[in-house]
Amino acid sequence: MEVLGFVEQKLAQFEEDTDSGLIGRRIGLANVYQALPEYGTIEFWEMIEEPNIKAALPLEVLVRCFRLAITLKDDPGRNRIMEMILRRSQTSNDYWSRQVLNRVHLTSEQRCMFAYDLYADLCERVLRALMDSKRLFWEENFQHCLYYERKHVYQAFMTREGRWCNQHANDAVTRRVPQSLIGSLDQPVQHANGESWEMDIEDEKAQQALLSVEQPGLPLLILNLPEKLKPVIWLIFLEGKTEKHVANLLGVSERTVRNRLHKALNLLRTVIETEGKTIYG
Amino acid sequence: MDREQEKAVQLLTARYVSEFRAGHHPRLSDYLSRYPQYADVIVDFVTYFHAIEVDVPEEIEIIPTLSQASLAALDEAWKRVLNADFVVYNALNSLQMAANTVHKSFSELAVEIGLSQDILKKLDQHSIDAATIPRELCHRLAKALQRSLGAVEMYLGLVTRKQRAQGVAESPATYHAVDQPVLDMQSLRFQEAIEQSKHLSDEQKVVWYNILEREGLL
Repeated sequence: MEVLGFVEQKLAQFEEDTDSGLIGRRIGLANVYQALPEYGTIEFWEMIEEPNIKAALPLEVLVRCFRLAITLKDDPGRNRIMEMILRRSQTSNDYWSRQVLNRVHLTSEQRCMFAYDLYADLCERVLRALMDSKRLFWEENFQHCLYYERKHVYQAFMTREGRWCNQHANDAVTRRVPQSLIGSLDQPVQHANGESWEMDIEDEKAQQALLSVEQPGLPLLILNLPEKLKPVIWLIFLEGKTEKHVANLLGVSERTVRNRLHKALNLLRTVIETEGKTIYG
Repeated sequence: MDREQEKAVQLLTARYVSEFRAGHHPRLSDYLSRYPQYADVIVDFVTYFHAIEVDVPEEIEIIPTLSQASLAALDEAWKRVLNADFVVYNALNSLQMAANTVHKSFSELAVEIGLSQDILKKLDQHSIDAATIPRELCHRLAKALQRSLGAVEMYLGLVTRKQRAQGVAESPATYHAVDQPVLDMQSLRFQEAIEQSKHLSDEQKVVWYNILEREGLL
């Protein structure tokens, strides 16, 4: 309980810090926006298109300018600002797109095609979000909003890709977890509280398989689990919580936690075994 | 989830990311115990973040120009957005509502385009065969309602859905309003509606007969 109390206290302190940080950030962004030269002047465009990132305007301010261009019905200006926003996030988006495409086995031609599709889908989502002036969080935390848009595109893509996989005979070839996720089988897993939990015999293989995955690779495996199973695996395997603690956190019975754990392990075992075959055999 | 809740979740998860980036090792369990009402969406984001985003760089020092592929994708996205918005914003749900939008009563609209309310009602009910409606009427309606000619023609059924190219991102639901006009086999010809109208003056009828004749619809 003392540990819990300490964590609560730490979190509360962090919240206080981040809340005051957020207010400070809002004021800072408002000041930058207010200090901009008159819309459409040469000085204005110079600031919008500043090539040096250290001197460039925050992306959140560019979002406000984009919305101002829409209000002023300045379509060329709107497009120009949008292009700048995308230039600023291009490296990040490219990296993200590679991360996503690494999750599926594709030929280089398919990879190019899918990269284009992903990027167009992402651009469309970002455009719609920026054109919706009620989505104010874009003016406060651009990067976080971008995470969300990319998450939607990723989920839509994986859903589509899943359907695409089913239409092909050799499922094992199309379902692939990157090799980096497969660790050595004898690697022990560390539980934060030192407790162990009882595992049904039939789950042992699944547990072993899961423990063989390096810890940084676990989130990727958990990501593709059904919604209700995700927190059970996360809390037990990554945070070392007991079934009882997980049951309390999720507001379900311990039996439900065990059932979910059993289901999740079975699903994960299939994925890991398929992965092993794909990579090694 | 409404916008308020969406924003609350974004703030919470942004705090999680900020805590993580600051090296504080936030725990999902702490967030779940404090915000059980958002448990599912927090788990959804946190797993995604750690699986995909955690190593993705943010901005780099030198801002690159957009690659050809990125430019093409951006163009594609603009087309999708603008094409879909054209339909959404321009689609008419009813002449009555469109008139209200431009602060005109139905009777004012009727006077402005030189028709009577009973005919306007029939047009709104799609009980007049679209093939017999003169283009002149569409022009007058578009001007009075401050809508595009295409939107009016589409509403009245002069342009069918198949004649319009569907945007890649347009869902069938976007066309809900467009799909509504269903021609009744018993529908009137526009000329008959003019003849039967008790509210249209003889002079007005003559004007419309002339228009119909000019457009080869008599």
